[in-house]
Order: sequence, then C-alpha cells, then structure tokens
Amino acid sequence: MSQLRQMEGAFERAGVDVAVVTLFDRETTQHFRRELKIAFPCLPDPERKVYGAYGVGRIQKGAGGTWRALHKTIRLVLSGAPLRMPKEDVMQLGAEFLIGQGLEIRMAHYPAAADLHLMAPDIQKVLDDMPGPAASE
Amino acid sequence: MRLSVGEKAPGFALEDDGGQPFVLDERRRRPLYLVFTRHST
Repeated sequence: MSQLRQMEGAFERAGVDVAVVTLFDRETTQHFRRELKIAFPCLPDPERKVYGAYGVGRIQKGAGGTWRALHKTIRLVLSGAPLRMPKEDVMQLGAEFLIGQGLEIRMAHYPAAADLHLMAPDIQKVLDDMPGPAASE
Repeated sequence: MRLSVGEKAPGFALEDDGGQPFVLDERRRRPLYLVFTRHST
C-alpha cells in the first residue's frame, strides 16, 4: 500500500483513478485507511463477492505460503515488532488491475504469494504504457 | 476464474468506508487502477 501512496502524483498525472477493495468490514476498513494513510476510496467487501468476480483467490496449499509466512514472522520478531494474532484470513491473496474504457482490462496482476505485489517502478511502467488521452477518447 | 488483459472487467457496486456508493460500470470514462488487498500486515 505504501507503493500506491508513493505513486499518488503519478496516478493523478496519468488521469487514472485508484480504488482499494478490502476484505474487511466497514469499521476495520476505516481503521485500515487511517493506519495506512490511504487517500483513495476504500471499498469494504467482507463477503468477497467482488474478489470472487475478479478471480482473486487464496494461497494454495503447497505453494510455499506457510514457509513465507514463517520467514516473515521470524523477520518481524528479530526486528522487535510486536506480534499479534491475525484476525483476518491470512491466506487471502491480493491483486491489481488497470481497467480502461468499456471496462477493458489493460493490466491484470495476480501474485503467487501474499508478499509479491507490484512495486512502484512496475506501476509506473503500467501507467507509461497506457495510451494517451487522445488515444483513449 | 482469473481475468486476462483484453477481457471485460466485471462491473460492481459497493459502498466506500464512509457509506458513499462506488459504481464501476461502462459509463466510467477515466481509467481505474483497482487494488484488492490481501490480509493486513
């Protein structure tokens, strides 16, 4: 999410709106937005209907998700971060899409693991590859 | 099922965390970068 915050100006310059769908209820989404200082619309989808419609799934058993989670936990412990019991579905994956006119999908990114999201340079490339305003009219 | 580039994205109507409606449909003119969060960190 910090990558998105970092790219806020680039989205504006490219004329691209951003929306964030969460798997939380409204109250938790408000907390999520405040905590991460997100300026974009945050859309709670606790029943994950839109997740399902976009094919955004969960980590598959045997995909290495458990080891990645363990590795991440060890790193957090070593860094002195406070540990907490997660209340959310830790197996849920995210995804990112760029949707153009006529709802055409211009970019679809489904990470294989929870921590493999697009980084700022990847997002910038997606914006750079977009057709200009004249081409999209 | 996963979606691919060139396919039509599913439209939807949700409310944002402030209760304001958010609709994605064919009337949208500006491109939308849509992010699905994973679990919080």
